[in-house]
Amino acid sequence: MARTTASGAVEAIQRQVRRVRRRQNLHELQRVVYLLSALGTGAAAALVLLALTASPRGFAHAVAVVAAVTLGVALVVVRDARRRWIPGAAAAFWIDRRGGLTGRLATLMELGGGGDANPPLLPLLVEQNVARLALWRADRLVPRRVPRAALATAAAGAALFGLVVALGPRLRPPAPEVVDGEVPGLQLERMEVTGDRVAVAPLDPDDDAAAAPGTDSDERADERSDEQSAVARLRERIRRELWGEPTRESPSRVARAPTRDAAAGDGAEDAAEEGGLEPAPSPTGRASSGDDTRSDNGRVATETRSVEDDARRLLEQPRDGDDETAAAGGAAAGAGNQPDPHLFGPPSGGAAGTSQRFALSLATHIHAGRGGPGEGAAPPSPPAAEARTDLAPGQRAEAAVPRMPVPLAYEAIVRRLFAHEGLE
Amino acid sequence: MNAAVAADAIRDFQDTFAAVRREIAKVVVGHERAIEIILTAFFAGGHVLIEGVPGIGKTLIVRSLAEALNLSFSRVQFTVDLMPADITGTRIISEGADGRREFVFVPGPVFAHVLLADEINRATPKTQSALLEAMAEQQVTVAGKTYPLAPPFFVLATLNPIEMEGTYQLPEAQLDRFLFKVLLDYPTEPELERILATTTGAELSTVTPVLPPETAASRVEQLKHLVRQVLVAPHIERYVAALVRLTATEETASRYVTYGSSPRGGQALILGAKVLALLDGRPHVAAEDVERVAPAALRHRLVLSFAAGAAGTDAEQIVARVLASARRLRP
Repeated sequence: MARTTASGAVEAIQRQVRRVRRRQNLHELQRVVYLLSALGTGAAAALVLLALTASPRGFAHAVAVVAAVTLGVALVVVRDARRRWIPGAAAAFWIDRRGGLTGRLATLMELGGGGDANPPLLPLLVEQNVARLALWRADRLVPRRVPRAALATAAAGAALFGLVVALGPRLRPPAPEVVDGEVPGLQLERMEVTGDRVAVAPLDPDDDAAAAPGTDSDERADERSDEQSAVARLRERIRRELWGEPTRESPSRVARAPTRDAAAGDGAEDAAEEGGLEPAPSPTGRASSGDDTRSDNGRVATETRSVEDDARRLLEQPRDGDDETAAAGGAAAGAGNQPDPHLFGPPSGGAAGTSQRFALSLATHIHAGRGGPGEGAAPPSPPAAEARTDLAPGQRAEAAVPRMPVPLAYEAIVRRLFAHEGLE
Repeated sequence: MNAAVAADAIRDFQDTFAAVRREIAKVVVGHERAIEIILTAFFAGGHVLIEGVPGIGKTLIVRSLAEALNLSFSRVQFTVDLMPADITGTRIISEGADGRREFVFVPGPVFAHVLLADEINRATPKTQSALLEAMAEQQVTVAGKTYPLAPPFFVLATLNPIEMEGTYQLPEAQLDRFLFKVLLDYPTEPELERILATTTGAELSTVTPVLPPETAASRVEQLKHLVRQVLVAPHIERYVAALVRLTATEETASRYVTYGSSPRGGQALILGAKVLALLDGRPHVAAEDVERVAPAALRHRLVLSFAAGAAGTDAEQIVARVLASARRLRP
């Protein structure tokens, strides 16, 4: 009779153990879900904020950092949850510790499971456990069904994300001022290239970035572009979602600056990106654009085709150095301060829509040394007999620059600008 | 045994233990922890090795314990010329009433409930070993005849740590037979004042027996039996086994300990823990009980290496490290 009572008591205790375990594990599961949710929304908020404010390179680095931190914290959270999770075999020990039962419950669960042996002190152990049932009720050991702190963290994460999304459009900076290096009267070298000003000018052939297509710097740039294309797409998408479809710079904002052979290069690109200048949509991008931009895009495509046709036509004309004037020792076509009428070579075709840069082929030879009209056509004079060529081994010989890589963002502007100057 | 009877038995044990403690405390000032460990070993059925400088109450504690429990007590002062027969007893030729002479066994001092082996390390190993059989099997064999010792049988041996000249190191096998080793410290200043006051006055404190003389031995055996019935869950056994293993494999132990604890160390841990569980009113052993008795149960079972001596590390520190490591294994 006493044994039946004891076994009934043990079953009641086991039921309570299961209840406590269920409640604790559910609590823990919620905690993990809330914390991971908070982590996800926090990371998303950080990414959105960075996409709107950081440069492409900075955003790529930030994505890596945010991903690493998020992954690390998630691992810690999951590991902590695994540690807190109560498996069936450990439930009695956990309750024992939390309830201050000094091993009573754990001992009973291990010894009171049955068996032929009937230890003399076991009934007392059962009785002591029954007397302490109230000490470790499920609602006492796990007072709250919902982990409030974790829930608050999740809510805070969601609120932060919402705040960033809501305030995102306000972070859009004004379009930068575009300065053209072809206009006399201004000293472009003395002008500070900042986030709100972009200098556009023919590339200096001495600049490494101005190397011919197929050189190492271009290949490296392409590889880097491929690697970061996913991150760049993410950034573009975030910007597009929050700031809407990109708009092109109005021609009225293009200011004029004195002639300068050097372009701002990558610094200008970053400055433009940081300043919020949106790239003109590529032909493929235009195809997928919204209705609002269709007419505008069509106009740009028409302009581009017109420029390319003109360039092809010009290429068929005699080139610099080929014409009779140059052969006679006179100034070549395009020499002096007049634009070369054969400026355009064949366009780079589909590259404009698929790369971060596009190459506008130039039919004329642009030389590093801006000398007189005859310098471009005349072959370099042989070194003097007493000259020591080994003193300047790194000096580069003058070379023609048939192509000029330009950031994709400025494709429309540059095409339009050069088309205007070249056909004038 | 139903729950109520078990609860009464545990309460009786607690009362008896507390009463004996109280009686001993009348004449022994301080040493509360040492007395608790000695009483724990007594009710666990083990023997105790006490280490302490002369004059701090070792003999007084043992004598008071015997008096409080109303058990027979004998004391042997171990010296270098002490022979085994001086402890176990010997056969002598005795002349009967009819004039016939025959060998008669005269029991030695080991035939007592409580035996104090004072300065046990002064006797030769041969004499020390005479106690082995008595301590382990509660019997002695003299001239081929075995004589059982009346239970309860409790040996308290003392060691003098400062006079090492002319002493014999206790063999490891004999050390292992002591359930606990107790270190008696110097009394504190207030305790010393109380000692002076209680031992130099006109009226000396005396111990009042807690148990009646005719039933004392059986009552003690009854209480010892109750100790054996205390529940030990498998997770506690696993914990004790891990603890014992760690005395050889733990990082510090593996560096400074040549030989770790024997399985007897595990037995001592569980038996001592059972007594502490009863004192706490529990019918089962908890891990905390094991940890409380661990220093006393393990410190004399570790054979330290030369490196330990060179590094100034003693068994106490190693046991503390082992306990810290073992706590991580607690379920």
